[in-house]
Amino acid sequence: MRREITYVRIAELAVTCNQDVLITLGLGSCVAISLRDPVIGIGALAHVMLPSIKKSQNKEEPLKFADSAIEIAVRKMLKLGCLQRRMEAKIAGGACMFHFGDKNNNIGAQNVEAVKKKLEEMNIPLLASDTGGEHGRTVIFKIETGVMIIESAFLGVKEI
Amino acid sequence: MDKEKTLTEFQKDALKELGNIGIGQATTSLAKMVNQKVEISLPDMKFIPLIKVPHIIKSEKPMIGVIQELKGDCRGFLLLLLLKDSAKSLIELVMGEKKETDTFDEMEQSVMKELANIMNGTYISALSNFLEIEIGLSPPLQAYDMGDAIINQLIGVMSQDADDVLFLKTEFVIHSEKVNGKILIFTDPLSISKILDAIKRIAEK
Repeated sequence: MRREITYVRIAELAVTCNQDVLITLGLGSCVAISLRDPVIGIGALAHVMLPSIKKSQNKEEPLKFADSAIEIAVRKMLKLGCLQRRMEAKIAGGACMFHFGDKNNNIGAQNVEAVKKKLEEMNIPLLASDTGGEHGRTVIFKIETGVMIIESAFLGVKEI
Repeated sequence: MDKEKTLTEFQKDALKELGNIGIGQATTSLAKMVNQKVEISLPDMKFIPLIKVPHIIKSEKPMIGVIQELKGDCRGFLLLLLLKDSAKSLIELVMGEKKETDTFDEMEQSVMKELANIMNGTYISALSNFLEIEIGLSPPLQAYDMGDAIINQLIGVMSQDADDVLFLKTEFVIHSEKVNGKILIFTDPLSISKILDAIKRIAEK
């Protein structure tokens, strides 16, 4: 089988199978969510920028939001034969690189919270996470092993 | 898929011209500060969904970004973006000495913030004087990180209030010192109508 590399940009989702590698470059406040069914080797990576579609007036791009993107990812995986009870998640991102000082600017933390809440609601265990802080992250997700590699500009490389 | 938002030709020209005025003033102030000739590219203006911005500015490399929020009649952000070597050369022009380190110490950071503050301040006062509207700036904030992540963070913050952005990108170069930087302006759609109204008022005078 050929190994494909897919780049997942903001408000995008990739769902694919074993061997494939999914990459998201330069996360700031956005969050990358990986989902995986280890039994049949299918996984997904979503790149969300906002916590909830419910609070948004414009609902045209559901993949922008943590809650709706997770629902869509799960639905797509179910169609491919995954079982929800076997799914597991990992997340990275949600940094706060600029502290603007007013109200709602820690959007990164809000995103992380919304992702966790949605996963809990759907009974999908969160196996590991690397979130928060003040630095950017590039995420490489290997479906075969479920390993998420997180690169940063100055803080080295991490595996979760 | 790529929906480009619509502005009339007249509106586009007016906004571009406005950008030109601002950037001209800002780079003149930079030229004075560093006593060098500063050249600028033609501003590239786009009215696009926020999520398309990362398709236009891409950099996995670490960059120094100084950001200021627009306040008052105009909402949005100004971002000055430079690769490490360019930023180091620019700081050298101001300080008279170059530090060959991989990071930016406190002094270097405050020089970068001050440079950005003066350039952006000149830019914004040129615009507010011309348009006769009130635009203010927050104090500068700075990050040294992957260029992509800086952009990601910025559009994440902006996306809380807007889906689209009027995005203006200008590059500036100091040839003799191999300095190359970008000034990016992100304006939210509500401010655009305020700016266009102001232009109309001036045109009708």
